[in-house]
Amino acid sequence: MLEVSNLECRLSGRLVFQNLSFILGRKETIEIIGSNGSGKTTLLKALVGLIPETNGDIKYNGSILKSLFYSQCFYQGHLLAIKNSLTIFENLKLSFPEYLRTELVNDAIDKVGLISYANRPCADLSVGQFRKVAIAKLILCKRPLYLIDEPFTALDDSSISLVSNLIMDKKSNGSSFILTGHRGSDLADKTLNLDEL
Amino acid sequence: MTNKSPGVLDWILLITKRDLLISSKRSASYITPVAFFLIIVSLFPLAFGPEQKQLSSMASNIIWIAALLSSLLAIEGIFNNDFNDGTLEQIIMSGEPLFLLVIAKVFCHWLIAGAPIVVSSLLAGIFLYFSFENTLVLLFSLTLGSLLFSLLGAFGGALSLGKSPVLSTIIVLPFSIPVLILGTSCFNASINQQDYIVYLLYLGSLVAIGLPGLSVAIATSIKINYE
Repeated sequence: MLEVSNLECRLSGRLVFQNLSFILGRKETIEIIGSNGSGKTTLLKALVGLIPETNGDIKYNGSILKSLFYSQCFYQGHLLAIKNSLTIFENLKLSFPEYLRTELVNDAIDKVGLISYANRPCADLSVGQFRKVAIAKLILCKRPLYLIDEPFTALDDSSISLVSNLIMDKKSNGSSFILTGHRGSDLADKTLNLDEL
Repeated sequence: MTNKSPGVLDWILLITKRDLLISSKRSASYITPVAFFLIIVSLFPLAFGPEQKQLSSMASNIIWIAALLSSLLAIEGIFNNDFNDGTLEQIIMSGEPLFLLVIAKVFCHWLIAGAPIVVSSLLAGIFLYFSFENTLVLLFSLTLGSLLFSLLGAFGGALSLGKSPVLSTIIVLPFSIPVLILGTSCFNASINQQDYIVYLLYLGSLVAIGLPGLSVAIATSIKINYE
């Protein structure tokens, strides 16, 4: 599905990593691990074209691409693209260019346990609840590939198991995942340690 | 969610809906520029006295300077909020031509901050004793001028993403001078019953050149800022 070879990335001229290669098959999860500043977030950003100084080959379903695009993958970085002044419902409804039925949006909000907050502005939410809105986005989204930066940050135990189940569920439906973290998780089929490059 | 891949029109619609909804919830985004514009315009009769002849001779300068300063107030909001919360990342990775999405954002910004100033210039016309024909010329020229101010503001905003809003103001002001000169000349020609069409055509051609040209420059600046 995704083949990355000899990826090299620089930030403002500074080399972050080089000779990075991995293969990700369908229904697989790769976890990118490494210490702070090792380039985990930069790698995800480079794959979706947010780092201009990137060299190497990105092959997706046999085609060589400069970077991955919206229709090929769902990218969730540290910034969650949630608008403080909009309600949870409005945020989710206006997160994707595709039309989303109201019941689907409400169902996703219900699954993350925020249905009673659905019509409150996101500015009123705690950090954990903010992350739950991001999980609701993940529920609504259907893509072949997901790139998620530290998916378990600021989540309570029930939300962690919700995200884990969601990832397993999407994997069984044919999706693949690239996750980042500081130590390997049970969800990963493969691990890539950036400290060992 | 449908399996059909969204096109550029879907993205434009999404950006427009989102930006207008956010502005409708933050009344300051459209009230502040209008209030600022009207305050500046109403200060001039207080400072120079209510004499009709004197006010009419200065009218175009007053209105255009007020419109420029008011449009500067709203520059920061064009891209900075989207940059800070990650929305701009999602827009960039849409895979659609970024300059087209930039045009959608600039148009929304004009609807929120520029169009209300154009409408409130009607009120300013009453303060400053304009005739009906002069008011129409003002509306046309200010519509074109405010579009250019929004484009230039977006350019300044894109160059100074994540930095101080003062920087974008400093970038925008020198580029706004030709628009200011054409706008005031157009209105002065109308007041003095001279040919003002030529100035409207100049402003129109600036919009025609600036819309694609500046949109590409804005899109490039945004991408460079992600480096």
